[in-house]
Amino acid sequence: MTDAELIYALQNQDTHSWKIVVERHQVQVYNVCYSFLQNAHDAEDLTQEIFIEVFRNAEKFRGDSKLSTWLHRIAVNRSLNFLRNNKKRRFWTEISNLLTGDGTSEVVTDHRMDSLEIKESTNQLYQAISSLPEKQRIAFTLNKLEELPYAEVAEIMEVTLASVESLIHRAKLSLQKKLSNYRNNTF
Amino acid sequence: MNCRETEIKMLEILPFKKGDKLPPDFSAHLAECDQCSRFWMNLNKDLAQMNAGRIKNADPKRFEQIMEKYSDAKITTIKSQSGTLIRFARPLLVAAASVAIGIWVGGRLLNLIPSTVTGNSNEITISEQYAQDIYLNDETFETLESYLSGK
Repeated sequence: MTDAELIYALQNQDTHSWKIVVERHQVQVYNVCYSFLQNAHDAEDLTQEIFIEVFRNAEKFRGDSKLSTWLHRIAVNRSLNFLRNNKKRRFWTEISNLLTGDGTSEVVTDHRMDSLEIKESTNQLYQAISSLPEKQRIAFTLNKLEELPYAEVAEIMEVTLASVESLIHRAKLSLQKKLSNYRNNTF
Repeated sequence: MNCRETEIKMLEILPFKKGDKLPPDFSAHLAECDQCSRFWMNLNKDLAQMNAGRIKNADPKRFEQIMEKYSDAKITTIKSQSGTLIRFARPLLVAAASVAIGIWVGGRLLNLIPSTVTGNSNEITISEQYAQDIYLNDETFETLESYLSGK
């Protein structure tokens, strides 16, 4: 089944096409989520949610890009939303902890959050990438972790090739500064 | 190549894979700079750690898991829709009932109040007397008309 046939079937709510889409694209979607979230459990949950969203909103797909590009775009957006919501949740839980003086709440017991925090504190590269401005972060992650060429990154981000080049260049300079500080403090 | 240039080069070279060749000037700097060499090793270690959880093969159970979640989500949506309906219906019903009871009680109370208080008596009120006073009957009209016309 070609991409065009698959999209047509998808838009007609053909469940057989859903299976093909999942089989073909699950690795790609999962890995994009994992690159941003750095947590297997969250990446798996989000992958499932992304495919459900794709089944529900297939008719919204305009067909002016490849199916894989569209899936990449959804995966990136959903991952960033997840991180934002997680940040907000952590903030409010900490506030409620301060107000109630309860040390045994969600933040401490949530294993997913714990693992993310451990990774954040030990992995300097992840920490540095996470602190980049959003667009630089997306471009750098897709290019360096997903190993996608600039042209594909540009298509996913819906920007020009020159913009992607500029974003990655700025990301490198910014990362170099951040990592250099870390290096000077550590070695 | 100095340390700063080497650091920028590191980020350009990433992701470095076994079998890839490093640029000669970069390798030369790493060979003579212990700090950069260790930093390069750590950077690769961090990247390897970040990539450790990636998958290479599709999970055959994934589709079933998604379908399960999809049907659960459908049920949840229906439940939440009916929940919303119930949530809004209850206060609306209470409000409507309160208004109806208010009208009924109000009506009953008005019937109980004596007519003098409400102004519904057969006695003529001051405003009605005043209105009668200024009312011009036909006779007065005729007198005025004849006076004005000079007849």
